[in-house]
Amino acid sequence: MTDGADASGATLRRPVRLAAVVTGVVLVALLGVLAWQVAAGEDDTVRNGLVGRAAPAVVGTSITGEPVDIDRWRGDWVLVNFFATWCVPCVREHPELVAFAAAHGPDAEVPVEVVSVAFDDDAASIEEFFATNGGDWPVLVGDTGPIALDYGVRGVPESFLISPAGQVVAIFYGVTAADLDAAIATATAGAAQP
Amino acid sequence: MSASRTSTSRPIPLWLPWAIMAAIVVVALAVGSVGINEPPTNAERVQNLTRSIRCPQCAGQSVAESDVSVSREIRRDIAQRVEQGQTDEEIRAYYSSDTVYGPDALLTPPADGVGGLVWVLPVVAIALAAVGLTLAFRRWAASGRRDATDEDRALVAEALDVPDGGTEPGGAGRP
Repeated sequence: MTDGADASGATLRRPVRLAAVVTGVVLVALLGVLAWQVAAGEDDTVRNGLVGRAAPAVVGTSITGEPVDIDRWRGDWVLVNFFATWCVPCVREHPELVAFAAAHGPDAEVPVEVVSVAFDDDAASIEEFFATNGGDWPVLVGDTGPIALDYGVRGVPESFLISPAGQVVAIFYGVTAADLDAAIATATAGAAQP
Repeated sequence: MSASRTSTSRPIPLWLPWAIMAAIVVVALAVGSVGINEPPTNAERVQNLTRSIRCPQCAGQSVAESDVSVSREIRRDIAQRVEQGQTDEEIRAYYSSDTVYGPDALLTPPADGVGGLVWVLPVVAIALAAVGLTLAFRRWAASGRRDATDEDRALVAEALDVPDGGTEPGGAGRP
């Protein structure tokens, strides 16, 4: 009986060991995949594949009823700013946008066209917001959701600096005039290098 | 008394559980196949797509579950794209493109690349387990049935407190 039990135990142990090894390998592989995906997700927090690529179209109607198409400013720097009046960081960054727009008007050494795209907001709130906080650049209203999705906007505020050649050179999740000037200087220096 | 118990509690045939399990599997596969062949409505497609796309602003939520602005916009956009006749693959490709939200926009892992391991590994594990069990069962079956030794009978008799070599109540002893 004892010999039989030993033989039976030996017969049992081999598949059990095999199953344990296979289960362990599968678990390790799954953990590896999970870790890889988590690492990829961490990198993704500042991801936007638009940098270095052609800026998607921004076409629509401004709050004053005028047609807007950023392609008409090709040859100049353009800043596309997605915002909402209900968004506190947007309210905080607005004075920086006002200062930047004032410093880069049509007669400036480096003129920049600022265009705001209202995201999930209404015209009355936007009019009141600009009347209170300043700023006289075009503000797109209406069905602006598809424009925001084309730019991969995750939330507001997000701003996209577009070079005179029509390429996105930098993305900001809340801007300052100094950061924008630095980005233009960096991009200009990079473009000037042979 | 023991005779009447023997006549009422007939042993369940060994094949019966297997037959029931096979019937359940066949019925489940048949029902699943019929369900897959039915084309989903546009509303069902929108529901499925919004469940399969990650909310860009939240952690671990689909746009179907999230109520942030961008998720609401994506739900609206998906419904429009479905109405315009875009396929599910085209819509997923748009949201997972590098210029929009990237490959991580999809909650369902891709079937190719490293992410494909999520699909492949469980199948491989099940296949290996099935092969292992089959081999083990065959080995156990091949090892043959061992008859009880005199030592075993003595142990049983002692446990039942009957004379050594006695027969089971109501029937003949096994050879």
